[in-house]
Amino acid sequence: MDDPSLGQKLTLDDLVPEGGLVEICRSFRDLFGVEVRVVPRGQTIEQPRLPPRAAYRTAEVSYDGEVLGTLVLGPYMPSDSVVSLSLTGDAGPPPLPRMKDPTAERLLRHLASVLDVVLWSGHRAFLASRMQISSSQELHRELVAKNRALTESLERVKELDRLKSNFLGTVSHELRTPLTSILGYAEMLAEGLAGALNEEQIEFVGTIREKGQHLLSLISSVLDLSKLDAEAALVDVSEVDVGALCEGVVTAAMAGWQKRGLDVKVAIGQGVPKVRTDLERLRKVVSNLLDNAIKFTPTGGTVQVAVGVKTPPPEMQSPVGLALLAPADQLVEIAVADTGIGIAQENQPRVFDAFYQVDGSSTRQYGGTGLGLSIVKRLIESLGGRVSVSSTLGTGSTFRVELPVEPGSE
Amino acid sequence: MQVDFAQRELTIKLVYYGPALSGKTTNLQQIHGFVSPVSCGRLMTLDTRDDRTLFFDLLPLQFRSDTGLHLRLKLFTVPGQVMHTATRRLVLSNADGVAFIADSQLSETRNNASSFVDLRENLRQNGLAIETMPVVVQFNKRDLAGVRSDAEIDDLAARGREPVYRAIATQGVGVLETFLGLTELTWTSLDHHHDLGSKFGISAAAFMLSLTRHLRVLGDGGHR
Ligand SMILES: Nc1nc2c(ncn2[C@@H]2O[C@H](COP(=O)(O)OP(=O)(O)OP(=O)(O)O)[C@@H](O)[C@H]2O)c(=O)[nH]1
Ligand SMILES: [Mg+2]
Repeated sequence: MDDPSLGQKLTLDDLVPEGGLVEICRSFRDLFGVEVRVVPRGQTIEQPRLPPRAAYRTAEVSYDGEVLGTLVLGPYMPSDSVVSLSLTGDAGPPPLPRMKDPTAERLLRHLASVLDVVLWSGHRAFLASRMQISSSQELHRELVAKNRALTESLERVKELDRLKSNFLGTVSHELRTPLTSILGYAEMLAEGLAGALNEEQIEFVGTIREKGQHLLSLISSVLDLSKLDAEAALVDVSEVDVGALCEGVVTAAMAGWQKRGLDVKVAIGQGVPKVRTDLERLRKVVSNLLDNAIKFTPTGGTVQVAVGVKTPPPEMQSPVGLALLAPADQLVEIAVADTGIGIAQENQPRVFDAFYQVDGSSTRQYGGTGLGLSIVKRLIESLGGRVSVSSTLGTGSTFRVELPVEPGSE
Repeated sequence: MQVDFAQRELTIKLVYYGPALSGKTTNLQQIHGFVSPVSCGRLMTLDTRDDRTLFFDLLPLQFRSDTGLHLRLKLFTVPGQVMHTATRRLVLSNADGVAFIADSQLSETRNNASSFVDLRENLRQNGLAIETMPVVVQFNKRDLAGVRSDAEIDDLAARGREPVYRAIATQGVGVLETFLGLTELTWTSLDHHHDLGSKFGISAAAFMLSLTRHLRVLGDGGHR
C-alpha cells in the first residue's frame, strides 16, 4: 500500500507552491533592500561579476535533517568598505545596498527561520493533501469491494428466499389444506349436520378433531423450523436488555402459569451488560424455555428465570490483545430452572433433537410437539450462543443459555 | 523501517493506535514536551477544529548515538473515530511498532476491544500480523472515576502477552514509560530480524541508554 506519510525524499517543490519562494524573496527584498534567492539542491549558484569587496551570504535550507537547497543573500557592500563613486553618474549598474556584515547575517538567519515555518506548513499541507487523496482511494476501493459482496449476498438471499417460499408454500398448501378439510368435516359431524350421532360416534369424532389439531400445530412447528433454516443468515441485531426481556416474557405468560398454580420469578444479577443480538429470536428462546418449564412443572411448583454475566475461562482466549479483548469477551447467561419432573441423565443429550420427548407418553400427558427445545437450540446457535441442560429426575431441570455480549468478536 | 547503511541512518515508525478520545494525541504532546528541542521536531497535527485527529499527528525525533548511528523515530497517531478506518490503515502501513492507548473507563471496554480488532484487521490488510508486531498497551486516564481497577489490570497484564502500562497522559504520568517500552520492544524485534546491533555496532542496552539520555526527564514520574 502507498505510504503517504513516510516515503520518498522531499524536494522544495513538494513543500512550497509554485512561485511561493520567489514571492517571499521579493517581499523580503522590498523590505530590506537586498536581493535574496533560494537555489534548490542540485542547481549551481551563479556568480555574476561583482565590484571588488562586494559580498554574499549563504545558508543551508534544510527540513527534517535534509538539505533542500541554499539561501543566498546579496550581493551587498559591507558598509565599512570604501566605495569608489562613479564619476559619470548614469552609467553602470545601480549601486549595491550597503550594510554591516553582522546585519546581513542577522537578516539571513531571520529569513532562514521564516523559511523553516513556511516549509513546515508546506509539508503539513502536502501530507494533508496526499492523505486526503489516499484516504479517498482507500474508501473507494473499500466501497467497491463491499458493494460487490453485498450484491453477491443479495443474490444468495434472493435465491434462498425463492427456495424457501416455494418449499413453505408447497408444504403449507399440501398439508394444511386437506387437514383443514378433515377438521371441518369432523366438526360438521360433531355438530350433527349429517344427522345425530350416538355417544360412541361423538367420542370418536372428538378424537379425530383432537389429533387433527395436534397434527396442525406440528405442521406449524415444522414450518417454523424450516423458516429458521432459511433465515439463519438474517439476524436483526440491536442492543437488547436481557433482564427486561425476561420480565416481559414472564409477564406475558402470566395467565398460563397462574392458572397452573405455579410461582414464576425473575432474578437479574448485578452489572449485566446489554447484548447486541436479535431481540425477536431471543424472546422466542426465552418464551419456549419458559413454556417448557411451565409444562413440566406440577401445580405448586416454582420456575426461576435468572439472568447473569460470566467471563469465559482464560484458556478460551488468545493471548494477543488479551488485556483489551478479555474484559469485553463476556457472556450473558439466562438460566430457567423448574421444580418439574426432571430428565434422566441418559436422556439429557437428546432433549434438543427435533421431535424428541423423553418418552412418547409425555407428549400425551403434557401436550406439545416436542419441537420447542430444538427450536431453542437452532435459534440460540444462530445468535452465536449455546444452550445446555442439567437435571435431576424428580427434582427439576435447569436450562442454561449463554450468549456473547458482542456478536462475532472473533 | 528505512535503513541507509552508508549514512548510518535508521528510521523507525511507531504508531499510537486506539479508540476515539483515548489520549493518543495527548501522549505525543507530552513526549514533545519531554524531549530536548535538539532531538525533537515540531509536533505536526492534522486535526479538525474540535481537536479530533483527522489524518494523523506526527512527531519526528532524531539523535545520534555515541557510535555514530543517526536514529530517526517517527511517532504517528491515528484518528480514533470509527469512520476513519481507511486513514488508520494508511497510517499503519510500514509501522515497526504499535502503542495501543486504551481508555481505562469501564464504559469504554467495548470500544477498546473493537479498536483492537480493527488494529488486527488493518495490520492484516497491510500484510502485517499482530502476532509478530511489537505492541505495548497503555491504560490511560487512570485519574478518572469508573475505571478498571489496578488489580484487574495487573491480572490482565499477567495473563496476556503485551507489556501493559498505566498512564495519566494529561499529567505526563506513564507516557515516557510507554514510549520507551515500545521503542525497546521495537528495537529488539528489528534487531532480531535485521541484525541491526552488529550492523550499526550498538547493543540494545546501549541503544536504550543513548535514547534515554536524549530525553529531558525531569523528576521520577516524568512530570514537566
Ligand atoms: N482525565 C483525563 N483526560 C485525558 C487523559 N488523557 C487524555 N485526556 C483527555 O481526553 C481528550 C481526548 O484526548 P486526545 O489526546 O485528543 O485523544 P485522541 O486519542 O487523540 O482522540 P482522537 O484524535 O479523536 O482519536 C482530551 O480532552 C484530553 O485532555 C487522562 O489521562 N486523563
Ligand atoms: Mg488525536
